[in-house]
Amino acid sequence: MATLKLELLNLIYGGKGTPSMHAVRDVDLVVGDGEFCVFLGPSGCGKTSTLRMIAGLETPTSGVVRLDGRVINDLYPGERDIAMVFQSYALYPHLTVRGHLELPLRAHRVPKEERERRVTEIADLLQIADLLEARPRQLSGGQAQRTAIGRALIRQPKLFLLDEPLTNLDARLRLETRAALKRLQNELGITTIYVTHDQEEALSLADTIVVMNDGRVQQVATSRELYGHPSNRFVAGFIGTPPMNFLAATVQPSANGHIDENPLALVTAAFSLPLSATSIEASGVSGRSRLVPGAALTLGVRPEDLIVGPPDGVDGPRGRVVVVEPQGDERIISVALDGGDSAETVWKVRAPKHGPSAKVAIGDVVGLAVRPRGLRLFDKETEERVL
Amino acid sequence: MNAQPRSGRFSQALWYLPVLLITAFFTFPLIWIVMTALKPPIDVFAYPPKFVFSPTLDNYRRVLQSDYMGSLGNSVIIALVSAAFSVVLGTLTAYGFSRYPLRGKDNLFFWILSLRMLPVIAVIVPYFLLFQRVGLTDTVVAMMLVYSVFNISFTVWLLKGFFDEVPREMEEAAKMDGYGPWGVFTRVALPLVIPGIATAMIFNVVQSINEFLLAFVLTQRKATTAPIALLNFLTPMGLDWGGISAAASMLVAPVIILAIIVRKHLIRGMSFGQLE
Amino acid sequence: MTQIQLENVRVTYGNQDIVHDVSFTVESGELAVLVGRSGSGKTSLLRAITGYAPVVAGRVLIGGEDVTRRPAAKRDIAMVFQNYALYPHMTVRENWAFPLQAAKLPRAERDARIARAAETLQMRRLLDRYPRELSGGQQQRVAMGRALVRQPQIFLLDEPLGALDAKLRVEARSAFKTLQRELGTTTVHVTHDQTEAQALGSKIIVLDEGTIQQIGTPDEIYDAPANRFVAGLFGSPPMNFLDAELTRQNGDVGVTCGQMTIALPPQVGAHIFDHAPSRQVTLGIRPEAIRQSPDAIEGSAPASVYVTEPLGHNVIVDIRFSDQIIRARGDRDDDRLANLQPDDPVYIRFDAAQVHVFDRVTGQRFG
Repeated sequence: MATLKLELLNLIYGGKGTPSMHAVRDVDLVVGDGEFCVFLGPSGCGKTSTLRMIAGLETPTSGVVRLDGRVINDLYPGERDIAMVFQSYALYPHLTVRGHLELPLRAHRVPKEERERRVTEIADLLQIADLLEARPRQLSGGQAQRTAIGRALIRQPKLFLLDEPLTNLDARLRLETRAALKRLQNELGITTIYVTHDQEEALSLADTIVVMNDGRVQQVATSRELYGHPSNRFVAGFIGTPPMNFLAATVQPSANGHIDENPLALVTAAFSLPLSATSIEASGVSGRSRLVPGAALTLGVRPEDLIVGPPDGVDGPRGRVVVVEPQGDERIISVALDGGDSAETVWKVRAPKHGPSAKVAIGDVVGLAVRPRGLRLFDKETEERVL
Repeated sequence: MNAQPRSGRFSQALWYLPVLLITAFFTFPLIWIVMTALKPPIDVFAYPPKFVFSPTLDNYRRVLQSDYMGSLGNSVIIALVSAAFSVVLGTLTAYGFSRYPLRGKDNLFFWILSLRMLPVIAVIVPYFLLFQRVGLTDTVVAMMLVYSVFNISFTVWLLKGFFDEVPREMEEAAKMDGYGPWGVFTRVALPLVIPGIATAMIFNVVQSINEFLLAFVLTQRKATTAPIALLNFLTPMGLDWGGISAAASMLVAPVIILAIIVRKHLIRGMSFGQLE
Repeated sequence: MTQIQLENVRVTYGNQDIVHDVSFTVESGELAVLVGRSGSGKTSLLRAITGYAPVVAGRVLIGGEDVTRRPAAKRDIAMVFQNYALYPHMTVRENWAFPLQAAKLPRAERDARIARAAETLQMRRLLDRYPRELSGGQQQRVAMGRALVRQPQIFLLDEPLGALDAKLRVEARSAFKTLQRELGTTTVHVTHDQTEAQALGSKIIVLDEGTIQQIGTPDEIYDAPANRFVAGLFGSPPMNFLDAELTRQNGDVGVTCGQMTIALPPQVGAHIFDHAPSRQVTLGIRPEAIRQSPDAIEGSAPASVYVTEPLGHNVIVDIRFSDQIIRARGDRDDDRLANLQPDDPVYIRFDAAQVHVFDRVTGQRFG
């Protein structure tokens, strides 16, 4: 029902004697009609500040917020036709659930009959019809959360904002609510912006994820793209649990093999890996022109893109198993790579419980094969992905 | 080995004992005053003190017929008006201090609070001269103004604490719901600090009703307050214990009635910060 | 010998039994994890070992010695608290020296131990900082160090990783597992996080409502949960439960759930059929054991997509099946899964070897 456009949005806190903080830097973004967009990043990355500028709770230092083409910078929050769910739910102890649902309607002078009809409708949708006369302190976490969502949605706003709404729920409820929320948004088709620091939440909910760090947008992509093709080292390391394994590497002419087949190799402190022409071709990243001898890079491999095998006969890292952590039908195996002794050279591997790696135990010496599509390379200086 | 859990009821009863003792300790003077007021003159001085006597309303009758009632009326009106005025002004001021950016806010806030810390004796002469100049000496209005100076500073200090406790998100949620600054204040912030307002009201009333020094200097006849009028029971024939006790118990009554009315909020006021 | 043994321990606060009749043994050098939801009694049980909780019945033995009546300070136990309980007015070095001063250790020995702990925990350069100058992860290591320098017989940890963010928690967890292994100190670790319990514990003790639900290795707990509670606690997402009915046709036992009948392996099936008090049972199936296909195949039943939740390395598909939402987990590289839309029809079937059958009333697992 609405398209949101942010144009070169900046927010600087403080100034005038106190040290200023550049919380949001040059954010340029379009959120399409009906899209579920998630702002993801570590605390202090600017995601909440950006949300608050959209809501009108914070005034941008520069830049424009457009809703359906109309500049809304100077509108009071209540005039923007935007609803928001807060992390603490912000329920008022002196109002009942019905009172909360009616409040935004009263503010917009909706007549009584219409009000009652809408309250019943939304209460049924969110399964809080039995709780209309209850006060916040009588509600469980999940019920309070649904009340907060109801208060936001009852106005049928153009834009629906949520600030870490699942943080205060226990793990099981979080899982259920997550799916229910995604379904609800899909059914209602309201353009939604959701802020979280939890990558699992972001990946599972979003049509589009906006990864932020240091006030800047790092990447805008779908869950799959973000995970499979992170645009820089920050995104690669931030998404994924356990995170991607990284190691400094340089490109050097290959010592062994045929010159025309394997002209280059990646050399790290712990191992060297031939860089095949096919994998370079397949990458499709424009930065591959930087893959020239002498280039300083950071190599990255996700834990599930490593295959544990016997120590001989594979190109790639070798090492000793230091920890094995069972996780349901998988195991996380930590391997201290030969030739390295820093935290960077302890690599984590995600391996199925039933399979060739099932017998791996602490102290074993193993070889790690990198899946052909699993190798990622980042420029050491700019941290942009080059492969 | 098998230690049985202690009976809960018994240990609970044990807990009540000290509570009861402490309560008795604090309410004893009040009970003593009421008892003295109801005693015939002969029993007032009895030693050992009598706890069983035939009560009389003579003392109350005498007080009701005296000038004291006018002063008591003054006291109640001055206290209520000054407390109400202070709470209205103080609540708005406290909200401003709590929510809006202001240059030199901390200094300003301390300055307001310091009004309360002034020894009364230091300002009493300036006040007297000031009121004489504008022709307000010995008026109820003057007393209301003077007490408000002290009460406002206290109210601002107390309520700023309460407003600080109201989560900002609650107000932001109301803004998103479509309310302007005044709507946010009256519909969200204000209802949430009602315990604080009740507490401030009680403290202000108590303060104004008890005050002696300022009233002693700034009033002569028309605007005399009850604490001053109590002096009239100090007669050349000695202290009228029965009368003074009856008068004093009547002075305490409005405070107690007010406290009972806002009791619920007072208790919540003390356990504030437990918002869901 | 620093084995910990609890025999029929009961802990009572006020009138409430928090822990009823709990017995277990933690072997010398073992890392045991006590896992349960909040209010399950796990922290009370930990406090029974330290000596802070009122043990009204049963015995606590450390190294074979009955310590039930011994005061906490004389049990030679070091504990790490969730909030770390660091002294804010002391530097890291002073925080660590504090318990050693209490033990009247000579200065040289004290310094040596602090140096060793700093080495182990990679804190050498941070020794003279105050807690407020440290990050969450570093504070956590200071708390570990304070327990470490005492070289106690036993380590007890109460949710020591709970205050860290998800990423740091995963790192700290494997670092701690390595450290415990190197030190060989008998350790009991309390957590509510099932992933942490699985990753750390060589023995997992599952607690609910003050009673032990199951004791086992991570694999035993995951593959053969004793009851519905344990099955529903472990796994991401946890096991799905469906109302089902036991059926027998020509001697073959199956479980029927809506339009789907799963044939149980013959021996298992016969055993369950003979032992179940009722035909009405609960079927349990882990998300990874649910298979999906776009078309009907043998043994499959129609269902529809509720939502899909891509999670990076895999995809959770929430499926509406016989009036319930169940969660299936699939591979991230499966393009078909990734492109499923809400309300798309799918056909699901359950891997018979991974179907669990529970008593619908008691929740106990059959077989």
